[in-house]
Amino acid sequence: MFMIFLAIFAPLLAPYTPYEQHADALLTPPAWDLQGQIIHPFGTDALGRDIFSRVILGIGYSFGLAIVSVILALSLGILIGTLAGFSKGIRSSILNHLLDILLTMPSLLIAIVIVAILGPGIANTFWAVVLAMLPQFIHHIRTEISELLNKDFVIAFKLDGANKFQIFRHALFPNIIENLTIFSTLAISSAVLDIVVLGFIGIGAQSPEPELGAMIAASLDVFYLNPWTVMLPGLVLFICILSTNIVGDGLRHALKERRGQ
Amino acid sequence: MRLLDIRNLNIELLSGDEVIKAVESANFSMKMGEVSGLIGESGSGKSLIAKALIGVLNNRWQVTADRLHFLGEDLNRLSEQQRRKVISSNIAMIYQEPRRCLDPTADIFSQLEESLPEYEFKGWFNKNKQHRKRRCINLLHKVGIKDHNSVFNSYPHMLSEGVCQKIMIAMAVAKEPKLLIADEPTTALESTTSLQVIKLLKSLNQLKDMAMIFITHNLQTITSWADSVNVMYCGQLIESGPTKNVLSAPKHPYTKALFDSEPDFVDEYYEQRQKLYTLKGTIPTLQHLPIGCRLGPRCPNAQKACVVMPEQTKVKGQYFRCHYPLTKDVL
Amino acid sequence: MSSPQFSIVNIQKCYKDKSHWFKKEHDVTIGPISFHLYKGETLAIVGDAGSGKSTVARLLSGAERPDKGKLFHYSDTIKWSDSKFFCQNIRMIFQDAQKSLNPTVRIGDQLEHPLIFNTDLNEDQRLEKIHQALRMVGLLPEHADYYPHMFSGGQAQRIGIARALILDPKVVIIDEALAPLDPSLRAQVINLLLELQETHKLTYILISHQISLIKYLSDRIIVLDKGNIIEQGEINEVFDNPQHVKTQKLLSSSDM
Repeated sequence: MFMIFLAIFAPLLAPYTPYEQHADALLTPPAWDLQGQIIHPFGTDALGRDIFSRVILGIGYSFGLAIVSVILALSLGILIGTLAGFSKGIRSSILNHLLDILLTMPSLLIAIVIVAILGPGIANTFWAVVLAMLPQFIHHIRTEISELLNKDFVIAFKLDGANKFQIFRHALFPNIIENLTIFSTLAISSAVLDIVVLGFIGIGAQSPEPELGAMIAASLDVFYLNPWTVMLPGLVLFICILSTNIVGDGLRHALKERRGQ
Repeated sequence: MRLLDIRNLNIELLSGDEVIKAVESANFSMKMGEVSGLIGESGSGKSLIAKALIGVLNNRWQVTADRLHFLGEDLNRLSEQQRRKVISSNIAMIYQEPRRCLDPTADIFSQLEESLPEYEFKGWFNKNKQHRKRRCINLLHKVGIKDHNSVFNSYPHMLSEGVCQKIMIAMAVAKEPKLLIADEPTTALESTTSLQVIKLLKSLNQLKDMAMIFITHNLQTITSWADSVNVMYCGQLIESGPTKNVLSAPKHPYTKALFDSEPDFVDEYYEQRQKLYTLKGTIPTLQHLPIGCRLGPRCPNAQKACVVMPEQTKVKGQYFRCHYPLTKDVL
Repeated sequence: MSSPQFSIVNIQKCYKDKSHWFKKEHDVTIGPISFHLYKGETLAIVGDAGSGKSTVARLLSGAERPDKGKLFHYSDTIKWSDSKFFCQNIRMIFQDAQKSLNPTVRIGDQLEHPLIFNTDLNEDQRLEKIHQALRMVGLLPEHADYYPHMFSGGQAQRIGIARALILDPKVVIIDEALAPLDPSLRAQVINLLLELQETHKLTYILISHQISLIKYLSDRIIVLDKGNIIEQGEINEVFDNPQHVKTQKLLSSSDM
């Protein structure tokens, strides 16, 4: 079971390590004129920039940022969601209704609205994506926690003398962490898509930043002559999302097995 | 003709590479209109026998028997379809948690209507509708629910467990089966509702001559009104016979231990707060079944011969499987 | 008669009961209820579903607070917000043992938490107490490293008992904890509870609907109906001479 875990994690790790290595070697994408040479494994784009290094950096922008944004959304979600789960009465009711309104909108739309307010750019895309994902996390965590609070073992723990913080640390957190990891992996693929789409429609990352969506959009004009400028970033994107989903699936499977014991 | 005649029933579970004998060599028979109690603790296989009879066990379970006769027909010889037809028109089953067995998305009236026999649905669509409604009202009254209108419009989650169990019984007897299998019907109910349900079952047995298999681990619910009892331990049917005989003179040490572990069961046997008689140890799990007589490791009378499964012996209409049966009568 | 160990005076709690038998919302009041508890006795609380017996259990264990009412320990008034008092003196054994254990924490740690929260014992002393508690209920000290799902139902119930007793409480509330057990297992657990009551002079509150067990185990009995006490007294008196119609119905439900 652990082997499945490792085996599935490998493709996830692979896109990462090249990113680390190359970030040191190439500070900014250089401007090369030549085509079809070994030093440019992926060729060059219309402006002569090495696509390979751009793609590697692009993974960092699209994918890495997605992961960071999910982690941030997760932390904030746990904080707010737990507090919400503990609260009862009017406070909880207001929060619920607010959340319900936010949840009816697709995250991409929320992200676009936020970027429209804040202005384009990769940093604002990041914040937009975090804020767009937050309602879902809060809602999910809040339902889990309020369900758990009614369970016998939490009541028993309270009767043992635990205060709220201790209840969270020992009783609540270990029991939500399984579901959260699965939810987070799904959120990562969703976040990647959001960043890429924002970059593609032009309000996310701006050129010359090597974000995958922006790269695809920029190269569309030359698509018929040099398809690789579009296909390669697209393929890499596909692999990223696929590997995330496979990891998510593997996690789900592994957790089911563990619970079946 | 006997209602039910089962000889040498074996139910095996295919798990991975192992074959676990969940029920071993069970012999079970019933006359028409008889009430038979099937007593055993969790893991004894009592529900398995009922499920094997109805045929709801999935592919992982292998059911073999020398004889599996119901109303004279050998169920093993029939095709799937024929078997299902025989069973669905003659056997009904009620379960432990009635609210969970009812469809939570349909109101009670439609569920009751569904359980009526097929011939009620023939003819013009509207003509029989009134008739069916009347039949449903009758059914509810029979099980003691007077306010049929509010029940018809309710959903299962709005009703108490006791009422749900009565509805389940109503649905079960709609087709007037010859055999009703009750799998722990009162375990989840409070004592007063439990009494009502048992009175209801008693009257159904007497008025309709409906045979019953009452499965439970609670001795008191069944022993006062069953014609015969069958005691199961860990997949083996270790003792069976007419209730009076088994109660007054249990032959198997486990039967005696079971009777002794209830405070008020054997006539003021215990003073208040006196220690109860228990067998040491716990029921073995399916993965670690003892060989031969499965009570062996816990039995106070166990000796060498007990590693071989004892044969079924008959004494005065009482069947039991024990190498060293008890011979004294219980006081 | 000696003075009561605990006196519960006029406790009352109001609930909004939803999805009741075809009434959508319904105000249910439990109480006012008053009774005494004497040291070393077993008090049985019986009643139909909805009579309030589980509510009384929750109020007494400190899991919920009543809207009104007082609790006295001998002559001292106990505040309902004094959760430390409840933890240390009135403990509860839950009905579903497996559900009352945290599935992600080892049971040794689950037994240690009440000690950490309520006592000043150091680590070695706590370990000693945990081993002692496990041995007391017939388990081995090694079991402290196991997780709840590795235990059978009966063993889980024993862990529940160990957890209830590890703080040396004065009162133990047994909330239908014997009902889901098989007869032979139930007999073993009952023997254990009787033994512990004798050695530690515990007071038990037994909430159950199994009449034969109640008659066998209890000294006094309280009968609840729709949130009020309709009858109470010594066990033999009430059984031989039930005054109220409902009591008669309840007690005769074991005669089938």
